[in-house]
Amino acid sequence: MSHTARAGLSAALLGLVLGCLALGPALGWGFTLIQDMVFVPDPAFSRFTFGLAGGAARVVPSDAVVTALAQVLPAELVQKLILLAIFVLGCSGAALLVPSSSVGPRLVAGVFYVWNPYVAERLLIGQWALLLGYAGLPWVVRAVWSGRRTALAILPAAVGGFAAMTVTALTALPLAVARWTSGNGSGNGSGNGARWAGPARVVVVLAVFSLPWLVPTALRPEGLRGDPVGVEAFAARADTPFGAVGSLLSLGGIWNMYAVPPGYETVPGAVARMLITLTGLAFFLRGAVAYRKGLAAAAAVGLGVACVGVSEPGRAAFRWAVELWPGFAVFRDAQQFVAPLALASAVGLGLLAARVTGRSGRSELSSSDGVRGSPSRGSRPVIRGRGWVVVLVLVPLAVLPTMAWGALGRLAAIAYPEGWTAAREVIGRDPAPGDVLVLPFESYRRFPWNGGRAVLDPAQRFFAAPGRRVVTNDAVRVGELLVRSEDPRAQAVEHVLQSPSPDLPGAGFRYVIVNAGTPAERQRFAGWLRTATLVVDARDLRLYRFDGPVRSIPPQ
Amino acid sequence: MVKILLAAIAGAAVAALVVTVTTVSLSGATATPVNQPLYNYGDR
Repeated sequence: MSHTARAGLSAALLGLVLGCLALGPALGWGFTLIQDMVFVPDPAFSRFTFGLAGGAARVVPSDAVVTALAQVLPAELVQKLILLAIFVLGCSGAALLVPSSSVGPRLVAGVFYVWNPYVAERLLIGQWALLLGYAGLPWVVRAVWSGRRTALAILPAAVGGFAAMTVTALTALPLAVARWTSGNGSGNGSGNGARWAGPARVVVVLAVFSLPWLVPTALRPEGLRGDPVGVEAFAARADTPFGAVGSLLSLGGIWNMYAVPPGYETVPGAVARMLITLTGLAFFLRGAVAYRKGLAAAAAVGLGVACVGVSEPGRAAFRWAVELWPGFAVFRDAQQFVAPLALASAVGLGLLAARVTGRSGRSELSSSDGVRGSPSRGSRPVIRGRGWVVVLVLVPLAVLPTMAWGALGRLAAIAYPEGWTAAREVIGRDPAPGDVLVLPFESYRRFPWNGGRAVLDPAQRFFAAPGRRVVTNDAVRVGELLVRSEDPRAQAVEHVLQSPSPDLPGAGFRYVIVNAGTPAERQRFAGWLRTATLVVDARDLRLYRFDGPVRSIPPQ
Repeated sequence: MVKILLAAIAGAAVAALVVTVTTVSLSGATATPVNQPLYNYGDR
């Protein structure tokens, strides 16, 4: 087995161990439901799966891939395999980017890449699809730089969809340009045409892999209505004493104060995280990796985008951009763009470890002008110390210990209540036409059976059935801010529900599900549903059916 | 110079570990953040 293969395998196994450690209780039998992470048993394809219903096509094609995999494997298992794959792919990919003849420095890079505030925060906000793109990022760097297997490397991001592809494009394009402007990518050096073939190929692959969400977006432009309020709601925030920019430099700074591991606010922890990120970055910038300029440019652009939203003029610019074209809403939650910075820091820590062991290596990823700053080049004293490499492997875990065990229980595996399954069977058996409305008409829930964790209402996916639209609200509450709905149908329903006695059959609904609510809300819903039949009356869910004629609402 | 840097990183990591574990132990880690509004995606 070659050294590279052995290093990749070692890092993949270490990634698997770290994944098990990070997910902990989430690996038990059942579903992990937190924030945006929604998986359901036996998912069915629907218009929503393909971005042909609801708001912007954010779940495309990730939901379709999960639904397809769940046809052959239990959906619980699909979820766990995807989450573990993030750690395996990320750790092994980062490890292989370090030009070292020793496995240790590669493992240092791999561990830091999958065990840092970015991964912890995005995991706790449930954005597994984005993390899939993050995990594929080192492979994208490797593929773009070598000019081989670019499509395969971008595949994880393509599965992740819109956000993952945006982060990947932000990394791949500067790299491609750096690679081919450096003159190394022209192949036979036959002129500008050949020179630009590399970047052109990357652009084509990115464009083709974006078609799954570009096509439904083009078919339903009315679903793309980014509310500028989201700029305020989702801008990066300070989650360390170093302010928002300092938090971003430490790879944290997510907008949601609940999406951080317990004990994250301690000053020594913040100092340590900042120290290792900046150390990694410094060694990367001084390092002898061939893709240094390209990845450094991507990291700078990503950090710059993330920082724009932390100032009022920057937010005003983003608001203007979103009003100009709602697609710019992807830049609202800009902390996600520090992903290439995480990769640069991870590789830099690997280079530091390689310097410590004196085992800097030469490979296609080493720069052609020699190993800058490497003790193996000559007169610099060689600091030999595998012990230090072990320390550097453990440092990311020590500075973020509460990412372990599912962030001390924030992630867990639960089973859906029996009432949900009973309601799904009733709806699935019924041949009568009509859609399903979910009340309360709010997008997020804190179900007692899910330990009170905030989660996007799974009803949209759980009750999906061919020919029936499940209508939930997609307006989002962040503190006192309300980011308005993007879904035209949800907007119409919102209007209907403002009436004291809404005509729900007239709005196209055969069934109404009440799966949460305060006593006052439930009393109000009971008034609305006086003429409906209570079909399922479980502790966690009530299902009502309107037996009379129901207006047919064509798909929008 | 590198040795000093490594020592600083190791020291900072140990301090972070001790303080974080102590803080979480004393405050009591909860599986879900408390006082989170009922229907909120999150809070800033």
